[in-house]
Amino acid sequence: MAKPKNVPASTLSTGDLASRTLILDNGAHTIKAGYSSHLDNHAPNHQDCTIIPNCIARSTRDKRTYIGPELTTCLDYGELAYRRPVEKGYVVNWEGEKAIWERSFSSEEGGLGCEPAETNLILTEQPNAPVTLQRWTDEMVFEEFGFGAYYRTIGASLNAWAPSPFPSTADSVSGLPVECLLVVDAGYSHTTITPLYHGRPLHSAIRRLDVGGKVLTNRLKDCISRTFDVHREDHIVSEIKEDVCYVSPSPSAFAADLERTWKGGRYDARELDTTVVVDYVLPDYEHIKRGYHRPHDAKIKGGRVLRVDEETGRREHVVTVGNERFTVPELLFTPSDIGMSQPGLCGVILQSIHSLPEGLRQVFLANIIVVGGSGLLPGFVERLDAELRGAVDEDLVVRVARAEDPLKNSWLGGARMAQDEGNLRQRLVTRAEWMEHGEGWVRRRFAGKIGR
Amino acid sequence: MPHIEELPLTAGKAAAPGWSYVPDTGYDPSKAPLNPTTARSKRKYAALVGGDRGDLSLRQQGQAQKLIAELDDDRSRRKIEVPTRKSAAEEKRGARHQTSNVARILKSEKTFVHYLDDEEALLDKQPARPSYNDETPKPAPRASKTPLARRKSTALNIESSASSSPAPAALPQTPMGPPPLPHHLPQPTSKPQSSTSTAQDPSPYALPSDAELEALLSAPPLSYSAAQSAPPPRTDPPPRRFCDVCGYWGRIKCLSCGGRYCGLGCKEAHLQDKCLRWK
Ligand SMILES: [Zn+2]
Ligand SMILES: [Zn+2]
Repeated sequence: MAKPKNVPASTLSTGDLASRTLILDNGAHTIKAGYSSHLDNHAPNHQDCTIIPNCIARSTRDKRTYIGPELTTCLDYGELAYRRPVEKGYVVNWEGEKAIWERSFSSEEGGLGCEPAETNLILTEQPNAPVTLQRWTDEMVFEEFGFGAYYRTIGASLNAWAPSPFPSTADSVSGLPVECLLVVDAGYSHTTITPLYHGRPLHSAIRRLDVGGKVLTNRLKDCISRTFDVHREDHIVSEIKEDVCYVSPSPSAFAADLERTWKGGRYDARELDTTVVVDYVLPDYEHIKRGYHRPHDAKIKGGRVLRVDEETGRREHVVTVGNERFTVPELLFTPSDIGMSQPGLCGVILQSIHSLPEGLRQVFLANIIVVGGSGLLPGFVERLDAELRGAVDEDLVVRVARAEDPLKNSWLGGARMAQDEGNLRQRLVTRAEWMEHGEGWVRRRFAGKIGR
Repeated sequence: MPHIEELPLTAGKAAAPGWSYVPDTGYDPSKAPLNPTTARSKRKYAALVGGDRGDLSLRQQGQAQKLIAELDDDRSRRKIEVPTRKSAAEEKRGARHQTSNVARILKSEKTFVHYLDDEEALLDKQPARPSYNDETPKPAPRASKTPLARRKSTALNIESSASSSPAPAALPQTPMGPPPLPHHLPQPTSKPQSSTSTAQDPSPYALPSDAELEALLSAPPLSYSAAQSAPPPRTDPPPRRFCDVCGYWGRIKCLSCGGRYCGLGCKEAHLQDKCLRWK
């Protein structure tokens, strides 16, 4: 069955499908959500997707508790405490997730205005999920939220329906089956490698690197806290990461940058290279709503300072960020830097590819797409591309591309897939079917073991 | 890996364990073929994609484990109560009460580790993931004997809808028609076997048969633990070590705790704040 089957006549009658489908890419850090409809001709785009913090946050300053979308109204992210219902990519705490979903589905400000009974739901999960957690998710979707119809799928697989990131150029490889895609999902909890064949995951080749955005942010916290304690500042440190961190192009560039950012020995002090070392001005949520960086001022010693800005006369907290800019993202490519016994991303990808039949390896090597938040780090794709090229035979073609919007690409793929009624009918399970056949049957349906 | 010269240990104690970063003679990625053909390169490849390593002492491993666990923690276990308010859904539902399953799910205090343990206990008797790196001979790879034309007709090469620019999803709207294929990746559009390098089939191996593909597609998911990447090959260079004060190379090993610092400039800070001697 290498070719997708024709769908036999559906058992669903037209009335069983709601007119619109909510695509919910339920990440550990953020939810990517929005609608798609098989009944209109609107082609879904990134603007149709809302990013909702998947957390409940408590501020010690205004004593408020923010649920999901409410966090965007928060004026002071200082020392926010977070509760995240999704752990390792899976919904583990439904008490918290229920509150966030309900607030997100509401028609209050920032909500999606979703009436579950009149909505089809496409919900993403991470690969290799424990079965109990899948069961509980299905149970909640039908019994607590009461969605009309539902499809649970591995988030990475939806990328097969998103626009191709590869330019259609004459140098594309001939003779390649083009329906293959290797999805590198560099998410918050970890980074997964998922080969897709016609959008279907090749389960035996899915691999995981246990470094994700969370590890990077926590590592950056530790580094900056050597001079200034930011351990309680998840939000700010995450912004620092987004603003100044980058992936070194190569191990030798890494070593060179490490030299440029070293203060030198006791007897041979060096000038810091201010093209790499920067000063980051922390937000005070009074005058400075968001932190920013500028070239390092040599007068700032010891890594941090509370100083008065000469122009504005305002006090500002400044931390100096040096080698952390590239040593932290380096963990994705050299996890052994913190003693982790996993290979870097390149090695993990090769493990995945090598577990495939030989005839398929080249095709996946030439169709690697990077999605997920860490994919936004400057230099990520270039480093991955270079390392892969160096690791395989010269005559093999390596092609790596970043999705146009790495955060929303899975969502966009899902939204495009859901535009087609045949796709929906093939995949969705209705609430009536859930009632009739039970949870085991539904799980087997989602696993592709029961066709329609 | 940079070459870093060994600094003389001025202390000169005979017992002082030496340290050095030696020129990297280990794994060179550029020499590891993706599809190894010779026995030697096969071994090398096996080492690249699997195997474990014994570089770190037990104590260092313990420290690393602790650090990794901390980095992977949400550090937000600070319990935040979920504000109770009657949701619109609950109001609408009115009489329909929560099922006992849902009530149980909502009350659960379990964390991911619990579910992982449950799953592992269940899977215990099943065989582990087969090794993909073993040395068992595979069917000899076929050289590219299959005519290109025939290959093109194999299952992998389904007709291309060609448009690979972000074409709006102009998907067929026929209700009962076959589902559209996932987006096609670019194929050489109007450049058949003309140019020498690009027109050649780059893979020297036969495409998998339909049966093979079917088996691959219907393989069950791996468990969470089985999907974790295998350890790096033993031939990898030893882990780089960094100064635990400033993040530069950790050129000097603390004789008391085994931690690293870059030189005299950071030695004091190490002894004061970082040294695990007394901890
Ligand atoms: Zn140092
Ligand atoms: Zn020490």
